[in-house]
Amino acid sequence: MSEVILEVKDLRKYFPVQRSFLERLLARRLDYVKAVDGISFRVRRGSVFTLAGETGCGKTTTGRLVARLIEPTSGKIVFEGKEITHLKGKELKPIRRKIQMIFQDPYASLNPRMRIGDAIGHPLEIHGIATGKEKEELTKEMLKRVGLTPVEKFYKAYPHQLSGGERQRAVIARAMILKPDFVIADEPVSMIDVSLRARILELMMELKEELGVTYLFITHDLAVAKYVSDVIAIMYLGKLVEIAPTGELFSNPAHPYTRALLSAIPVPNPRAKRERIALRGEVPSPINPPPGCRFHPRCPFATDRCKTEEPEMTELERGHYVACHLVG
Amino acid sequence: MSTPLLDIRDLKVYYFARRGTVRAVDNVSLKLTKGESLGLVGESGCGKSTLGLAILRLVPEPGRIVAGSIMFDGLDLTKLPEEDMRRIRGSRIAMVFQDPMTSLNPLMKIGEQLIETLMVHGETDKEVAKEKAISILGDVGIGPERFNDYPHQLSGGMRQRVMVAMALILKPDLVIADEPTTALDVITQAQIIDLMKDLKEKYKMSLIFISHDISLVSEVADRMAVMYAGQVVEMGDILSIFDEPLHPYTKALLEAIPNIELTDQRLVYIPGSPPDLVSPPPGCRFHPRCPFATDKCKIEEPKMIEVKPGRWVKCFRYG
Amino acid sequence: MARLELTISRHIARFFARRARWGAEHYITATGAILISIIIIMAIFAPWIAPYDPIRPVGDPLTPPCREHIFGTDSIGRDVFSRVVYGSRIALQIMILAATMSLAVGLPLGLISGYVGGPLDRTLSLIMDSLYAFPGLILAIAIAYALGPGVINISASIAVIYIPTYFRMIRAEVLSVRESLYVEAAKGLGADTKTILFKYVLPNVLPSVPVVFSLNAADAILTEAGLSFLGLGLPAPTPDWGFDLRSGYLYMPAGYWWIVTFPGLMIVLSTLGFSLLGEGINEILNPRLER
Repeated sequence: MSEVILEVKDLRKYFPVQRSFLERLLARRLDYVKAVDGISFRVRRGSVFTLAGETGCGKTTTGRLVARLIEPTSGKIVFEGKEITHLKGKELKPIRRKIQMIFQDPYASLNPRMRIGDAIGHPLEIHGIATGKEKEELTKEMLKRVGLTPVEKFYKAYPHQLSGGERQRAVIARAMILKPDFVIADEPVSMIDVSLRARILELMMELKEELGVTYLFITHDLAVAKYVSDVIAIMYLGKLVEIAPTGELFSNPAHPYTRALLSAIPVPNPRAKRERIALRGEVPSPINPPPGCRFHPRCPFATDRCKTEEPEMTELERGHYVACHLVG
Repeated sequence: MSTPLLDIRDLKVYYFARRGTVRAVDNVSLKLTKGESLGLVGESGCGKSTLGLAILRLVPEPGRIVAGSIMFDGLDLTKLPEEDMRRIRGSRIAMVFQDPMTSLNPLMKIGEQLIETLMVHGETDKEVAKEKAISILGDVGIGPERFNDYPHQLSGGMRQRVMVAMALILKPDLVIADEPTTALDVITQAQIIDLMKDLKEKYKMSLIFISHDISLVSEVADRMAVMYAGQVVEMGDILSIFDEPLHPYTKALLEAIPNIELTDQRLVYIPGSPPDLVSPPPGCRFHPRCPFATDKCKIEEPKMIEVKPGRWVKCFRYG
Repeated sequence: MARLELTISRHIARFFARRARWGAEHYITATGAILISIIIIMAIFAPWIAPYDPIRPVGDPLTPPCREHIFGTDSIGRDVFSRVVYGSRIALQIMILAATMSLAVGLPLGLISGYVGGPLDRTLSLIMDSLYAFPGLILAIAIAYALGPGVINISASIAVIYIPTYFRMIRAEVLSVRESLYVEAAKGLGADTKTILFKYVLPNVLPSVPVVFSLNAADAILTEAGLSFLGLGLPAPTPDWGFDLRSGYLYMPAGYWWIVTFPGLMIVLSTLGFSLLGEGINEILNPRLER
């Protein structure tokens, strides 16, 4: 069993709700968007750990917390045994070398005024690894590796001259050129055409093998999650409801939300029997989440206990954790 | 069988942009019978949305229908004066768009918007209109207590339901849904798809379902047309296409989708990228990315062939 | 050999084909550019273009336009045409100087204020907004009066009017760029604030500068003319369009129209030139980079 490379303990991120001046005067207390509200998980080195859930569940915020692009309200983030929760500035820089991020929108994550070659090579400069000719060499190697050939053409090109798939490959190149230990991929293929997604995913997995990278994969698309992940964690309204190895999650989903989610995934099969688990209502606002189990207003099996007591994450079987009164 | 409800022949829709003429829809023919639902599938830039808009004559500037005909119940929609077209929009052909927030009037209560739609199309009694509005909101799963809500007070899923209600309230013959669930969560998406299936049964409506998601289409549609680079490359009934995809693009597309019903799936991708519609490749537009391309494919454009009754392909491998 | 000719002719054909697709904005820009070029040529080649010394009387005063003096002479007998030509030097100097000074102060302040935010931003914005609220000409008059005459002083007083405009515009751009994904990505890469400001924010904010610069220059000419007209500009006998307007307009009712008209025309043309250039560039650049 490989070692734990990342551990997150009771992580929370609350965003104050924007208020107008008058509202601030009149309101008695400040409201918060509880985007991430006490989550804990461990990621093993060399694995693909996926954080899955619908929009607004807090998965993207979690990604940014681990990447230390934003600071947690409370909780701990431990990377390679060292606590990085509140590091800033100079201390954070060496961590940035080891933790990299791939974003969802290939159109927006590249500086429109920077040539691709410069953009990909920039991290080398920032961390003092290589400059000048050596930087150019390493960049061109990376371009070749991600399939952006002819290398000369792409080295000089600007982002707007590339297609979506090509841009995303450039973003991957930029993230990988430092040979990071940990990569957070936030919806890396959601904005890419279906016929090109496999290319990006394949590239990411190849680089994982080559460089020994660990992935924190964030997605709302469970079919993609199934394809790439070793472990999947389901998030709902800022909390983790279930964590399990991929196969186990799909064959024995325990939490009612997970089961509803899985039953809703579209399948390319016109003959498929789609027996959907219907959920009542809509996702509540993360400003005032329901008391007790967050999911209880929509859960077809909710009991009185669910309405008042928040369930703890318990281990059902080896590696399979659930937070539900009815199952745990 | 009687004449088809919708008969599109050799349709060409071009955008006359500064950098060149974009051949968004380039010689498309397809038919739709009454009560049938057709799925229009393709990736970004294939022309499917433009086709949907063209049927309603809503193609934005600098686009224009340059050739072909759209026969709808005996009328050629391409030649109809704008006045008559306005009467058809909403009442005989309705459209459900992708983003309900921009298609609904944010300053008007949803109930009012439905009433107004009815009044504009001839309903004179406001009470009757209100009843109809409440009834249709019920059909799409929205209770009468939300009648006086504004769009921003509803969730994304509910807004989309309102859009569906707006489309159905005049009981149109044909509904065109353009990526109606793309902006929604998985669970909400499933709810809307189930809703559309139910309404399809109840209202016996003809539906054109446009989507890049072939899995969704497989749920809703009876027949499917696959589009690539402005053209239809394969068409036929849905079971037949999934069982035996003929066109290399369709084959590759089906193999590129992660399918949770399978284990150890090996995902496929298509090398290269979709062509620029200003200067598409000569011959078969798919040839630069096709594993089976021959010299003939590079110079000559294949014609749409009916391989079996109702089953069409545009590929030299079949004739 | 034939292949080379084919390539060349193909390039030439494409060159003209692209020109044929010029829209209104290209014509506007081109017209502006041509007008400005005329003025620049006038300024550079003034000694060769102007037939007479602009400062000394060279003919009978108040002569209407004729063969020897195509624009006539003014009240002292100086050749109006020569004054107009040499006037372009002063005009250009002040325009460019004023616009550059504005930019040099407004750009860095807007950049830092927008990026850093907080109390610094609030203070600077307050100062800039107050300055902005002041009617430009009045402000310029006050400063010109305080500083006294001279090209640099005049340029400085005109520059002050425009600093808030640059500040606001740059700050607004910075605010939006600051939130963009590629800036966040840069932070994720480990880049420090200085690198982000210069490599990521500044290059994306600069495209909007040329437009404001042109419009600024156009405005500067008018303001300068205004100052000169009020007697706060450069001292006589410097050939200056605004000054000539002032000295000449007294003679208008008597029918001596040429002293005022030609300098006035030059002011209009140069303002027009810069305005057209600025507006044209703005049209060309918007919409921004295509997908």
